Amino acid sequence: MSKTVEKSFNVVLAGVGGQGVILAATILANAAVRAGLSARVGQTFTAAQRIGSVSAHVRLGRVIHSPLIGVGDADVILGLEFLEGLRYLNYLKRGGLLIVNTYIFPPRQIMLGQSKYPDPKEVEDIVVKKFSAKVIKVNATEVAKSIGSSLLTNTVMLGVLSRVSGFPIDHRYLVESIRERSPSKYVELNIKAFNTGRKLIPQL
Amino acid sequence: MEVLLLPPHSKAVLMGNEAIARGAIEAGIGVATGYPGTPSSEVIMSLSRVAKELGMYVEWAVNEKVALEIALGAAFAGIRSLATMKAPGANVASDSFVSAAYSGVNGGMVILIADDPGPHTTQTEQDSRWYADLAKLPMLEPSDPQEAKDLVVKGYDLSESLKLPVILRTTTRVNHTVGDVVYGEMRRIERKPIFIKDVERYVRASMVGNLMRHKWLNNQLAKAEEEASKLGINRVEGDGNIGIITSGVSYSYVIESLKRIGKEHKVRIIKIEMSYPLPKSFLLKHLKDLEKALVVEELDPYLELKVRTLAHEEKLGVEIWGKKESGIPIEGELNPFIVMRVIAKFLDIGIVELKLEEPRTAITPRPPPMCAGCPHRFSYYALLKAIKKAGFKLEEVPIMGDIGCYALSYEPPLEAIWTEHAMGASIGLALGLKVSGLDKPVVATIGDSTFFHAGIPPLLEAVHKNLDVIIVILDNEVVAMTGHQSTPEWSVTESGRRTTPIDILSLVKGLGVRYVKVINPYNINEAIEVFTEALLMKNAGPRVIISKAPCALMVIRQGKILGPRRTIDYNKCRNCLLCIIETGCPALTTEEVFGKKRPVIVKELCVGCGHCAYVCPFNAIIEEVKKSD
Repeated sequence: MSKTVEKSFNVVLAGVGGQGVILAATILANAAVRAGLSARVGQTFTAAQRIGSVSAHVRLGRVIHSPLIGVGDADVILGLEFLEGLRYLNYLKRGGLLIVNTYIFPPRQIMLGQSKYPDPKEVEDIVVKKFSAKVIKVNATEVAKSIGSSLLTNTVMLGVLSRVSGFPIDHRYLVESIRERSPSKYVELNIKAFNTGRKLIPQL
Repeated sequence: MEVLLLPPHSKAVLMGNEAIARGAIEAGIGVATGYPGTPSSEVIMSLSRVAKELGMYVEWAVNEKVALEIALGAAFAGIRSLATMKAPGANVASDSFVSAAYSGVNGGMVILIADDPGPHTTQTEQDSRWYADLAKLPMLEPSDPQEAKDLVVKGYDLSESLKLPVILRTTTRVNHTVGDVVYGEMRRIERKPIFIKDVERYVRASMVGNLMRHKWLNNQLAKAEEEASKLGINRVEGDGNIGIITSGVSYSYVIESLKRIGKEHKVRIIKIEMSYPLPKSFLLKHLKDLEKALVVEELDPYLELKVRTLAHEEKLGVEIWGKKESGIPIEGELNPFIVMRVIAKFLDIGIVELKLEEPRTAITPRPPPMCAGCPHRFSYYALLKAIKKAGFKLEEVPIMGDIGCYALSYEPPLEAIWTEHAMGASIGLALGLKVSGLDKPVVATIGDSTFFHAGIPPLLEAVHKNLDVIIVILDNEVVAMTGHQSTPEWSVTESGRRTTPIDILSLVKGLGVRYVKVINPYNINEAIEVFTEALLMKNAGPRVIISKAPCALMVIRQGKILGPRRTIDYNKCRNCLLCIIETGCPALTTEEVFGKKRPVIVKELCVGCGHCAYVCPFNAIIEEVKKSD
C-alpha cells in the first residue's frame, strides 16, 4: 500500500540530454499511479535531442493539478549532473533535499574557460545556509558504469530518491514501473541499478 | 499491450499528446494527419502505432495546409478526422481552414493547434486563440491530459452537431505534461464515405452563396453554447462573491494557488473550456452577482477583452481585473509562482506572509548543440571555409537559415546563419536580398523536409525569374528536430504504408534548375570545392547544392557509427583546443592535467565522424585501436 500523502511530493529532476531524465520522470509517474496516487510530469526540453539541459517537474500525491512545481516548493532536487542539479536550486523548499550526482560534464562555455564550474564545497555551504537544506552527494555514474553502463545513472538515482523520508511510493511499485517502461534489454540492469541505488544511502 | 488500446475505465499514465490520440480513438476517427511540430508531434506518432490495427489512415502530410485539406475532405465525406499542427503551422493552414467554416463538415473534424508560450521551441509566442475569431470556428481549451482526451471526444460531438470543424487549442504545458488519464468507451463508427454535390455549400466562387453561407455560419455559432452545455463543456467550482475566470493550463495554477493560500472553495472559479464562441449565458449567470473577478490567462488578454465587453454590454457591476490590474505578463508562460503572487494581490493577502521569493540562481547555461557527428555541422563548416576561399569576407555573404536542427548553426562556434524566419523562407528572403541589388553572393540553407514543405514555390520563382542565389538543401533524409518523422523521400511510412519515394535531385532538375550538385558533407574538401565553385559563378541563375547524408542520430539508432571512433595521442597534442573551438562537437570535453587544460574525447558520445581529426593541426587525433585478445 502506498503511504498517505495529503500534500504533494515534488521533485525536480535535472540532467543533460541523453541521461534519461524524462524516462526517470515517467517511471516515477507511472509508479505513483500503480500505487493509487495521481501524478503530473512537466517536461522542459529544448530543441536538440542530446547534451542540452533537460529537466522535469514530477509531482506525486492524491490530487494534483499543476504540471509545474512552484518556486520554493520542491521537496527534492535530483541532479543527474552536478551543475544541472544546481540550476534549479530556487525551486528547493526550505529544509529540502538536494541529491546530486558527483558526475561533472562541463558546458562549452566552461570548457573554453569563458565561465567557471561552481566549486562543490561553496555550493554545499550555500545550500545548507541559505536553504537550510541537506545535500547528499552520490557517485551514481560510477556506480552505473560498474553495473554495466553509464546509461543506468537515472535508475541508480531513482533508487537513492526512494529512500528519502516522505517519498510516497513503495519501492515495489517503482520496480514494476521500471520493468514496464525500460527498453527491454535494459530491464534487469535497470532494476539492479535501482536496488544498488537504494543501498547507497541509509533510509532518511 | 498497447497502452492506447486499453479497455474503458483503465487508468493510464499518458503525455497530453497521447491523451489526445486516445481521445481520437475513443471518438472513432478514420483519418488523422498533420505536419510535425513541437509540441504537437506525438499525437500522430502515437496514432501511427495503432493505425493498422484500427484501420485508420494515419500519415504525416507534406505540410499543414495539405494535412488540413486531407482531414477536411475526409470530413466532407462524413468520416471523423483530425489535423494536427503547431502554431506556425496554423498560419500555413489558415487559408483552408478559414474557408472550411463556410463549407462546414459532415463527419466531425478536430484541428489541433499547439501554442508554445515560453516559448520553448517556437519562433513566436503567437496566441492562436485569435484564429477561432478570425475563422469563426468553435474552440476548446483543455487544461491537462485527462481533459485533453475528454474534450477531443466532446469536440467530435460538438463538431457534428454544429457541422463545423472544432479547434482544440493547447499549449506546451498540456501537450507535454504527463498525467493519469481514465479511459472512456471506444466508439466504433462504421460509416460509408458519401460526398454529395452541393455547389452553394462547397463552391466559394458564388458570391451569393458565400453571403448565405456566412449567415449560416453565424447561425450555427449562435447554437454553440447550448450544444456545448449539453456536452458538459465549461464549469464552475467553489463559491463566494469573488471570482476567477480562467482557461487551459492556467486553471491548474489557479486551483493550486488557492489551496496553498487556504482559499480553496472560497473563490468562484469560472473555468472556460469553450473559449470561442464565448459562452455568454454561462458567464452572465456566474458573473452577475460577483463583486470582482480576476482573469488568469497566458499570453494575450483574449478572454479578458471578451469578458470586459460582456460586462459592459450587460451593465454588470463586477470589477474586472485583467492584465493591467493584476500584472500578469503578456509574454512568456505562467507558472504557479506567478499565479500565486497575482492571486495574493487580488485577494489582498500579503506576499511576505506567503514567503514567496524571486528566483535567483544564475548557472552557466547549457544550450543544445548540434549532435556529435551531425552532417549539418560539416555542411556549414565547409560553406564558411568556401566563402573565405572564394575571396569573400564572412560578413559580406548572407547565409539564410530555415526551420530545423540546422538552425542551431547560429550558435558558436559556427555562427553561420543570419536569419531563421518561417518554413521555406530562407529561399524567398534570399531572392529578396538579390532583387534589392545586393551584389555579393547570397546563400539559402534549407532542410529536406522544410524544402518539401514550403521551399518548392520560392525555388520555382528563382528559376523562373533567373535569380542569382545559391540554395543548399541539407538532406538528412528525415524530419530530425521533432523526433525523426518520415519525409516524402521515404518508401515506407511509420504506419507501415508503402509509398512512392520522391527524389530531391530529380525534383530540383524537374523544376528547371540547371546547376545542381550532390555532395557528401563528410567529404569536407570536396564540399568546400563545390561551394566555392558555386560562389564564384556570376549571373548563373539559381545554383542548388544537395548536401546529402542521413541524420547521425538515425545512423546511431540503427546500431551503426559513422567511422572509427577517435582518440587523442597526447604525445602529439599541444592543448590548443582547436578541436573544441572549431567544431563545437559535444563529444569533446576538457580535463585538467598538471594544471593544464587538455581535450578529451568522451568515448560514449563519439560517433566517429572524424571532424576533430580533420581540424587538428598536429595530427594528434587518431583512430581508436580496438583491443584484440
